[in-house]
Amino acid sequence: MKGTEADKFFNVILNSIADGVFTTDSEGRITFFNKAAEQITGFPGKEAIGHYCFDIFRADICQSRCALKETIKTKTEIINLSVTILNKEGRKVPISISTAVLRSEKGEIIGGVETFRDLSTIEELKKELSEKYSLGDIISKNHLIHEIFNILPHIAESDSTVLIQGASGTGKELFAKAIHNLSPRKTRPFIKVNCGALPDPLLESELFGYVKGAFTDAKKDKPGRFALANEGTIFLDEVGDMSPSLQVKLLRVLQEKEYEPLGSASPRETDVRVVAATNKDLTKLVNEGKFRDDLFYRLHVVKIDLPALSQRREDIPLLVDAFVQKFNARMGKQITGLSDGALRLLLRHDYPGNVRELENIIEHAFVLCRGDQIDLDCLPKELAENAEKQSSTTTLPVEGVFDRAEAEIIRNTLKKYDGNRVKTAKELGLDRTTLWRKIKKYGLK
Amino acid sequence: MTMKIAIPLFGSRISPRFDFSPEMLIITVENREVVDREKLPIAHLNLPQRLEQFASNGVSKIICGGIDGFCLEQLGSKGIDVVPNVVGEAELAFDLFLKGKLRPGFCCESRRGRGFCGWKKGPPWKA
Repeated sequence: MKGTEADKFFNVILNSIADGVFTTDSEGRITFFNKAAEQITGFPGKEAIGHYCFDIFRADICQSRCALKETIKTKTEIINLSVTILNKEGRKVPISISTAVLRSEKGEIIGGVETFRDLSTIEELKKELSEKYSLGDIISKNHLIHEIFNILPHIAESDSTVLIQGASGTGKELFAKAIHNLSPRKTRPFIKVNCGALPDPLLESELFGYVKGAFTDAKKDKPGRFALANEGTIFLDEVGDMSPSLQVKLLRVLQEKEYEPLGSASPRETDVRVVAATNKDLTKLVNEGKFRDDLFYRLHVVKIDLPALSQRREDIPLLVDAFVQKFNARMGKQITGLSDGALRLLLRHDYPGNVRELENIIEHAFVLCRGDQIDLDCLPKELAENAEKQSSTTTLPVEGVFDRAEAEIIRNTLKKYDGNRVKTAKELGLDRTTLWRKIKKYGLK
Repeated sequence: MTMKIAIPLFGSRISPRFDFSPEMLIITVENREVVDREKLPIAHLNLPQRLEQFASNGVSKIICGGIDGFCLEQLGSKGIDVVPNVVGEAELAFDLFLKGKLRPGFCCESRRGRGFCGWKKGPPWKA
């Protein structure tokens, strides 16, 4: 075979295989990029060729220990090394790479070749097999939650303040606990305070404690939650409900790491990691002047937005299984799961109360269920009623408007021609039988 | 008007990965004139600390290479604009940014005969 023919031949072969292949010159610039490489990285060959491989490949090892560079230097192949690349869309893709040196006909090293395989599907299957859809008590296969799962260990490792935003029942406390349990503070206390549940003076004494004589009934010193959480984590739930005066005091704790208990003149130092949560839009509250902007910025060093259950419906079967196991253990029952009809109904519901609502539904079903499977009749009656209402309200309005308009037009045209159906049908461009059918449908005379 | 622009670096080039850059260049610009330049080592910082570093340094724009959705969202929520997926020499990218010509996904190489290869995507970024 001649040179150009051989090149074409090899190109056809390389472009027909499922593994990504690229070659580089001795400088590390890409000289060949096959079709599978385009698909896995998202970069078309014409954008990739001529560029440094690290600019296109963007693997987590590119900047610290480039596999190709190592292979060229040591003349040793690397086989099936698992790495993660960032594709063109900014999504992390797990792959396995193998590298080898590229030699000229004379045996001189002229560059390197890297082959790589997309492991996304395998990783998904592995996760499914090893039930890695959970982190702590959080269960999910939703991609948004998995992005949080991936980043949570890094967040936990740092001592940064975290703000968790999400509607009621989305699992803010579970995430706060997961952060604590993954952090170096995990052996120290995790203390929860609901800032929305207590009136202002009570919340202040709960948070910061008081000293003997601070008020009439203060017969001895009482440590606050910040003192109890020392060297641990304090979880401030519903932080958006905090009054402006307490916001100032919390800001001081975050800025200066000290606070004063009620009635005390001397400040106390504190070493506590703060994780705050709210179901309100804090940015909006800041804009409305109801929440201090300086506190907001202190709180949301790292922000986690939790999606509503209606945005992660794929998790409903997983969560249902988990709740069934939980209530089996708690109530000593042997329920195996849900009937198809019951699960279908649960999948259609909108869950304004999110995961907590789903948990309550399963608990309700456990109380009523007499067999070994939860059926439709064990579920709360409102669910079926809501589903009916939804299906009627989601389809009918469009049809309703159209039908009403059509009925009105037909009625007016009939009136215009004194009820003559032939003329009416002609005017409306309808067949006589169609007109008759529509008159019957709308009950016109 | 003063503005701080950060470029995560990999040598003299824009770091291909935002989350693995060993250092960052912070350039202070006043009325389109550079008034200060500073290089900060950030290899020892974990991701939340990196994200915090930009906000605490008063950075309002970041010119970077590959960046994932989580980081983009975190920076966005801190009011920091990001020009993502920029490839090539940091100084060239910064010059283009000052001229209002930089776009996300732009390739800023000064190789002879090639010029700017320009993966032109999105509208120009305003300096």
